[in-house]
Amino acid sequence: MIEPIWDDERLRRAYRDRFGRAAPAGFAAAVAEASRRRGRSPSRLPAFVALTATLAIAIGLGAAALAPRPRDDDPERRLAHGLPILTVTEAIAVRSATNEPQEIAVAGFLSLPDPGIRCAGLQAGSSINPVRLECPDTFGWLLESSRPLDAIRSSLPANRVGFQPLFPGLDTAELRAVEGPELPEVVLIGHFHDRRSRGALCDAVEIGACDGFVATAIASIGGKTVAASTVIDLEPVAPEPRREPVWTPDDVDRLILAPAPDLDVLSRVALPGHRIGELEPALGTGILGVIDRPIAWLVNGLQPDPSGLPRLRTFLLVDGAPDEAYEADSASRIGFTPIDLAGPAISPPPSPPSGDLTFPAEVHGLRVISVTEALAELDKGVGILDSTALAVRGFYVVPPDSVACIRPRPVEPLPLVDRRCPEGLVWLMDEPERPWDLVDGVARWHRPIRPALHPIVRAEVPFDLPRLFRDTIDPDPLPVVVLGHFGDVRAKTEREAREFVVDTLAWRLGEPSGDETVILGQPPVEQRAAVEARVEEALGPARATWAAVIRGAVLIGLNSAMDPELLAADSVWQLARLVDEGGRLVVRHAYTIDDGERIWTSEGLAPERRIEVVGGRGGKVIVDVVDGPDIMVGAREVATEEPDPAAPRVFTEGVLVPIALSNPTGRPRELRFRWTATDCDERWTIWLGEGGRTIDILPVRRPGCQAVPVDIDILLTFSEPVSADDVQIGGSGVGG
Amino acid sequence: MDAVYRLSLAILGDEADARDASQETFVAAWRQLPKLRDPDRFDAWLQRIAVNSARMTLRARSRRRVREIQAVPSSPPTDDSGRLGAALGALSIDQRTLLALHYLEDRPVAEIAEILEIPVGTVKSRLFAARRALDDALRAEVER
Repeated sequence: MIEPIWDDERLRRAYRDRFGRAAPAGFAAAVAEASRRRGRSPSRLPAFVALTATLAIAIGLGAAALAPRPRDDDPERRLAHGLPILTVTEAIAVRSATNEPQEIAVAGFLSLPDPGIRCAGLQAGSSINPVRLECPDTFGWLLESSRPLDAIRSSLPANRVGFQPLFPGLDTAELRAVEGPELPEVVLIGHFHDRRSRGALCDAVEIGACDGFVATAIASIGGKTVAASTVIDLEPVAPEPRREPVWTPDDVDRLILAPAPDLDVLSRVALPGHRIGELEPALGTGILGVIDRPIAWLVNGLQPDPSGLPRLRTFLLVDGAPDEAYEADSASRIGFTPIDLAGPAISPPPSPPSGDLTFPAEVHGLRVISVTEALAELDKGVGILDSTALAVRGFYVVPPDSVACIRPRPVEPLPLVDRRCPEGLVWLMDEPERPWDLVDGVARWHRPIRPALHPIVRAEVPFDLPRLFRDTIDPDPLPVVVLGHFGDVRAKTEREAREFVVDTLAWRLGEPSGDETVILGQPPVEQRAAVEARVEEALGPARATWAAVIRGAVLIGLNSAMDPELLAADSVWQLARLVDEGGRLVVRHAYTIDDGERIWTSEGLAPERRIEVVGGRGGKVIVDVVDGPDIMVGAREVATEEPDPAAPRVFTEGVLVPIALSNPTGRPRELRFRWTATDCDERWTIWLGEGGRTIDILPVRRPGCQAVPVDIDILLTFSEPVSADDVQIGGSGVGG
Repeated sequence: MDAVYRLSLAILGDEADARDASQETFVAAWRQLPKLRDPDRFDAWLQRIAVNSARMTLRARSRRRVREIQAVPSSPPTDDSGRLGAALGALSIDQRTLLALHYLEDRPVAEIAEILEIPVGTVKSRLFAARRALDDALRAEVER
């Protein structure tokens, strides 16, 4: 063997001499600038990884300077509220390297604006945006060094390092009480790039006006820990009367800790509802209706995150109304999503499941069937479109961190169906499976092994699950009986979707359920019994009724031709009525304006069926079926594994594309339609005419689209036989 | 940051290229941060990106139509550092990468395997071959 010319040590030394050098001066700044210029991943980064890497990248600390996980015993890095305390320089690097409102802790020396400062043309607090830097806040600085500023100024000398903090909704009395020639050393919790600084409130030409550090807590002053901030600012805008809150700060904490038990509450603010825009500008427009409430509470807290740094959570509560609670959510169009607070602070949780949990054999005169039986009904195409009521027993599971999806609060527009839970993770199962695996304390959900369907719970449906079910990541599947139907324009039944629209939770934990009136609009003045009586007088008796009060405007989503009088009403009673129609029980909806006279029924809602077809190359086409003669009882996409030997009739005359039509062998009530569309087609509509024998098919196409072919293969089921030989297909359209 | 620059320089042998590759490394790392599942592996993950960035930079360099040439031929280096730099010019980028990770960054074979996403046995055999190629190149430099 040939001896190496150098031994390993000599080679290592040569390597170190040759390459062991630092990066050139200014390189860190160049990297930070390149990162800023060339953008970042739009996804939200795991908090600690983001911070660690940001610092490592932008200011050259290196990963070792910040251990991957902050530890209380880390002598190198102090913590405040679980966050590593950064210097002002480091905080500025974080500001430069990310556009995320990452919560950080910063230590520095605070120079507050002189109380005597005069802001020309502006009154303090006159801003429409609490995070916009305006006088006098432009004169405040968090500085790297303790040396006081030479003069009151809104810009720093070149040799000083600092940024301008804002304290919206925080009690700053202790800060302002500090006296002496030295600047106080403080630790602030907060963030740059506040969610409220986006959009029109900070225009592009003035983006620096929203570049301030938004403090969410004052962690310490001069080394002394500062308690969580409470601000009760109930001064109304004249001539509103002053109101006093129903809840104490402790009540508010208890309420918040129900859905967020590990929250580290940083601050609470109570203010009149009509002043909510002072802290949450988006809500000052009247959205969510908070401005009409006497008092609102805003609560900020840090949520521990096992995979990284604590993250900021902001809650909005309407004083005295646990049913009106929201959480700031950047993914929401209006910035807030409803949450469920009903829990320990207001009412004790129900007892764990006990007693006789045997499913009932019948509810409201309907035989209770299993999920397997319900799916068999769906596969037969029976009851898909006609709201035939089914009572289905099973075991219900929902992701525990998505409790808001169980009883959504009114959000504009009100969702027609509740899909805010991660779609596909809510199940009604034949067996009490746990369709998740716990990995490091995190539940990873998968499809149940045994038969299951997706229950769709609309906003107005009473669905009162016990808290104990929601407060654990490993819940026992809940035995329930739901009453509902498959045939609904708001549900998908094709392929793996198997969505079942729930009309009521009929039974849970051994007890009947569903008697609650869900109020999603203005509180009604009319009693439910009176409403039921006048609907019954007009429409006849119902075997069972479930009631909700909704805003008329949300009905536009059901039918664009809805009566304008109904759409304009603030409070509309919606009665879901289980009625007998020709020997079968169906759920019909009746609508009447609160304290009104007229009654509308769901028969007036166009019984459309929507099928979403996804082609093999990813193109997607919507097919709407309009059933004028009310002959169709089912419509679905044909699965690829359903061969059909029947030779189809192919229509080429009077249609835009060739359309193949056939009766599947031995199934005279079914018609199978096949044609090739493109993903440039916004949708195809099938109008069924007389007896199902005249059919028009037309697409709505988008101009200027790169077409990807999508093979449509759907099956319509009728209440009576319809021979493909008798059908006439045209493309003229009957509905425009 | 220095470690990334140092590794890039050892692979590429050119300061300007090393600066470009390091910058690419950090920008790419920032973009790919959501893919980092285990923060404890941050170093290895970052070095993997650095190696890839160096390769990309080398490819880009090979496509440049105008290359800088020296007006005066350089004299042979007389110290180990200079000889090493010159000898590495005769090696492939993969060989330079392996040697840099092992002799400059002091990475054990298992960690190199993780960084380069190749089996440990492959690292061993390639490292052996790279070391032999370097010896050959160093001998040539000494004999110049």
